[in-house]
Amino acid sequence: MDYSYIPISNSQLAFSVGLVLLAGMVSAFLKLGLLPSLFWGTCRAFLQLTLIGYVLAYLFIINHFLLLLPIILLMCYIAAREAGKRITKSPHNPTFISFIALSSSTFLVGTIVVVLIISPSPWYTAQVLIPIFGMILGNSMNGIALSLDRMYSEVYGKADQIEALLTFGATPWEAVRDLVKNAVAAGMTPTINSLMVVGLVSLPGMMTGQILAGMDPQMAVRYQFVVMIMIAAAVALGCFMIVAFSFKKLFTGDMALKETVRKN
Amino acid sequence: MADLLEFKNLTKVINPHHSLRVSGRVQEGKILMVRGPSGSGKSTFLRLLARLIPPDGGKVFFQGQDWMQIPAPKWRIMVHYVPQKPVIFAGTGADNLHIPFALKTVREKKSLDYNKLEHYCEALSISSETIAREAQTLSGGEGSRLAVIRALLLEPRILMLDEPTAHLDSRTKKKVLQVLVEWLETEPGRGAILVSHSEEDIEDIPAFTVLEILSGDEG
Ligand SMILES: Nc1ncnc2c1ncn2[C@@H]1O[C@H](COP(=O)(O)OP(=O)(O)OP(=O)(O)O)[C@@H](O)[C@H]1O
Ligand SMILES: [Mg+2]
Repeated sequence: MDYSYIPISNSQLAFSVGLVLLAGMVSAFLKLGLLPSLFWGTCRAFLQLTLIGYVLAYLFIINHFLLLLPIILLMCYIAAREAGKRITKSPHNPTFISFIALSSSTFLVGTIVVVLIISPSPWYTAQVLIPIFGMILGNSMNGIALSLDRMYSEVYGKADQIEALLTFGATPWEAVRDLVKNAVAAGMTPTINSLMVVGLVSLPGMMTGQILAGMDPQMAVRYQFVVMIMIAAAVALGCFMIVAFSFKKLFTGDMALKETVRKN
Repeated sequence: MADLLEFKNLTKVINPHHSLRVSGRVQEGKILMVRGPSGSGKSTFLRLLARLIPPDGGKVFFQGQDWMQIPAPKWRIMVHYVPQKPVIFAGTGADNLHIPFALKTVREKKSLDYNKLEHYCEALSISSETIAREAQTLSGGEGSRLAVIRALLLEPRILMLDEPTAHLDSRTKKKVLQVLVEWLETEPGRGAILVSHSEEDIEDIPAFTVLEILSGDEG
């Protein structure tokens, strides 16, 4: 492949770190108390990206399906754990159901995109598979966290209404249907918004990257379009699944709202 | 007179010092008056019977049938609970009355009877303007009457009202009790449970039995 990019030298890299100082000054000035996390975040980003650079280079050379599968599953697990941490209102640890929702939506949509649309040869080419799956995961993770958080805050806030519906003879699903719809919508909204403004307000990171790397903008745009559509699909699927899995956990075997949910 | 509902040693541990433990029955055409000090567990008792919270022991039978043999959604229509704080949904008063009839279990069995709706609204002095208004703007007393009408339209076998007259003046209070008694008498096989602090209420009820719930220290 012909890489016609402009390289970034070590001194240029170091200079960019200087910009973090600016953020640090803002934090110190406003007493935001963000200095430790800013420092830690910068170090982590540097280390993680450096490491992943090596890992990716290695994976691209080996390029074996049996090696890629566990890597992608590990990515799913990390994303699920991260989503779990962001969900502040859940009465139970949502990592497991997040993992199921994330990995199934990512695998389904990712495989369709990689195999049918981009179709590299071989189809599991790491150079395509890893970034595509990674992008889907990152977005689904945010969507899922938003959906679950919204669902629980609605359920806590509207426990009286849910119980009233139950007294009218509603099944658990009927009792939370409207809240669940709101929760799925909440998870999908950022993705839909980005579909609306893409190219007008923002040039997405992937496209920017490809253009910087010397790709023909026309082709970069095509990639970006496919990626955004696939992200929308994966987010919708992931949000729906997470909410469908977890709404059952709100109810007892006798179709009543659990007391733990009621007391929150 | 025939028993509709029978509960034996229905138990709920409310806190380490206080357990609710009651036995009794609801008879056809009669009202079971539940009385007891605030915090003694009257609402808890009704919520247990509505199967909104699980009991810690005891048995309940509806006309001899164990309650767990009846699916919860069906049970909650039959033995129907109207909470102390009326639950009003977004939308107009009329929307609120329609909500139960959009649910599958209700839809399969019955549809909203507009003659009855009109009758109950008139009997409880809820005007057609009130019904057409955004329900969140209703007064506390209007809201609780709306909730009672919604429950009556569901045609339960046993209607459980948790202090429905608490926020009403004595004339409106009488109307609610009259409607309840009239509802009991129009068809056989109906019963009611009423939580009430007020002695006045008893004057308006021809047939009732009393269930005393003791406070924490006595229980
Ligand atoms: N979800 C809950 N969590 C913890 N305690 C509760 C809960 N619901 C009720 N209780 C407690 O159980 C006790 C009985 O409550 P309940 O509402 O049944 O009383 P009540 O007899 O209906 O009182 P009132 O006449 O004031 O309505 C109270 O001490 C109450 O604080
Ligand atoms: Mg009460």
